[in-house]
Amino acid sequence: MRKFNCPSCGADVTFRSAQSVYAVCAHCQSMVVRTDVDVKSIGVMAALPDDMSPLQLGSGGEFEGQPFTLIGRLKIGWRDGLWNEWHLLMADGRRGWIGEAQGSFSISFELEGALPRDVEATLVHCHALLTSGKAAAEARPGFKVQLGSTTLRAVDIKLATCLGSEGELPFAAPKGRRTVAIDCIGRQGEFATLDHDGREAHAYVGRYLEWDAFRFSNLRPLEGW
Amino acid sequence: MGDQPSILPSAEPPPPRTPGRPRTFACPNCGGPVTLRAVGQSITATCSQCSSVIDVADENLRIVEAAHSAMQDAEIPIGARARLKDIEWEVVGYMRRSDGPGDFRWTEYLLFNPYHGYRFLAEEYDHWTLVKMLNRDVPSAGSEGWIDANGRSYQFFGKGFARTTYVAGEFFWRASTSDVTAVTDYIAPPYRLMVEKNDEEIIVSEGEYLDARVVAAAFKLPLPIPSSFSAGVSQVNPHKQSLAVIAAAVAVATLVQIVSLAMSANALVSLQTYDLTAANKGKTLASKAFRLDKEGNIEIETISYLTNNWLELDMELVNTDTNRAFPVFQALEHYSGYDSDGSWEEGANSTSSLLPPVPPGTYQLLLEPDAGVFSKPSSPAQRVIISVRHGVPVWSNYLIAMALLLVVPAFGLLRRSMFEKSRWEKGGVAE
Repeated sequence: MRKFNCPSCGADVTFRSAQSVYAVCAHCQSMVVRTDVDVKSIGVMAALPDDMSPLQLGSGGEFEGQPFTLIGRLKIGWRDGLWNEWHLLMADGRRGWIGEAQGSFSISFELEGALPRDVEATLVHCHALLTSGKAAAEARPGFKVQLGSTTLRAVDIKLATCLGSEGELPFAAPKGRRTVAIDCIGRQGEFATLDHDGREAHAYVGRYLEWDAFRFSNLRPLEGW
Repeated sequence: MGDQPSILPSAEPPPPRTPGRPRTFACPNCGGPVTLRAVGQSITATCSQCSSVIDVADENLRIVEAAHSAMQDAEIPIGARARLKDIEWEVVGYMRRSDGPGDFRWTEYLLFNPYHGYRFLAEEYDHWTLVKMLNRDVPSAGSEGWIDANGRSYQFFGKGFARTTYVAGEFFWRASTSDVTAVTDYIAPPYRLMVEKNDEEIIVSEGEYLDARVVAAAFKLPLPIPSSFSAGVSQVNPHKQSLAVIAAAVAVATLVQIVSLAMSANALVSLQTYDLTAANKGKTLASKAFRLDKEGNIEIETISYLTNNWLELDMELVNTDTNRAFPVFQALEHYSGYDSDGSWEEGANSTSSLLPPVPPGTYQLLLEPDAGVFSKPSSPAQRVIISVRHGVPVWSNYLIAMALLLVVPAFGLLRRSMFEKSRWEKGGVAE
């Protein structure tokens, strides 16, 4: 854990993961980027729109027998809705994401190594979404995706816009950052999301899990529940 | 520490979020209070006062559809809570939906729990189904055969369109009364698989049939209970084939019958031949006395070969010890001949009567005959042979019992197939 003073307001900004480069100051919402020895502010994030999510930074959970902590969050919007991407740090240092959308929870980890060529090609087809707001005809959901040993099917393609962030993140996520996000599902609940921010493509692979399976702790109180 | 990753939540806990709570705002159309329960997930909400549909995806609260129709009350009000399948749910919205032609209508309630997400509670003609989105790829979804999904084998049930005719409350998609989706249904009672397809996505959901009484108790509402003649689409057929019970009853009855056959004496206690003439008319004839050592039933069989004639015997079986009489009346007739259709025959040359068990004792059979031949004094004597049997095995009770026992499974089968007929009337492919 490394602690810095926020260059904007002087409050403590903590980096709990050594790999986190970006963090949002909890006090003044400045997005802070960590250089080798220091931090600098790269702008102020908007306050995140509220929701009824029971999760918060610092919530703990379990996946495959290993504990994790939620250290960051992206609030994403698309034409027809909003969702949360919680950034998590596993006890062994791996970092992943919990997608919280429409009451479903997915957990995924970035696929290591180069993306399969057809996935790259698909993302290129979808690239048009980023610029013109319309994807190429080839980029209709329904196609199959082979990622590692799992076969999945693309079920939706969205233009996702970052509405804000908090905590620690592996990349800068300013408000308005746009990506193409392709969600894929498998027969046994496998989950993957492919995304492209205009410069780089990433694939995250994991699965859908029920609320109880995460054994969450340190949850945010919810009035009436 | 240094560059080692660490999880130390207690060392520097991030500031806790403020508690989550429903959000209230003023309706941009009428100013009435609108409560948003699934904050951050709901995209549209309707005002409970003016029923305008409001876009709540961002702060601007745009009116999507102003006061689109008169408020319609649902059986379960928005905000009601119930524990179903061990999870507490709150009703946050409901939709009225119908098939393409509008012949078949149903209601879908949207249930919300901030931890467990969403469920749909569908009500069609008082039958209830709790539905969950699957988040599973079902490759053959939409085909018309058997398909496998979520570890179950599903039978194709029907295909058609679902049109949303009314919305109230909040939804995590842009619910509107112009929504039309193609729906394919599969069943594996009590489970049901629904595949909804529109231009943009395929949503596969799995439902489980719920007893209306369970739903009523969970919501503490007096919901109507469906008639036992109307089947829910994925309701388990309640008319079980109770063949085991019937088979046991048949076995017991057969055993009883075998034992009673083995125990019946079936003894010929009297056999007497009478040659009856006009002289016997109005007279009483008596058989030889015979002894019955134990209680038992009596069968009296009379044989007489009649040629186009009739015979009536007014009989009494009399216990000569007690003078108790058991009356028996027998009538015989037999006619035959030829006509344009060939030979014909009517009646019979023998008859028998069964008397219920009589007590032991000495008996005589008294008879007073009358016959067609008695009207002609010149007619030859009519021979009549009367035999009396004691302790006769009886099949009729057994046969009646068998018939009744078979009625039960036959009726059950009928009810079962009527139930299936009622179920499948709702299925099929809509053009």
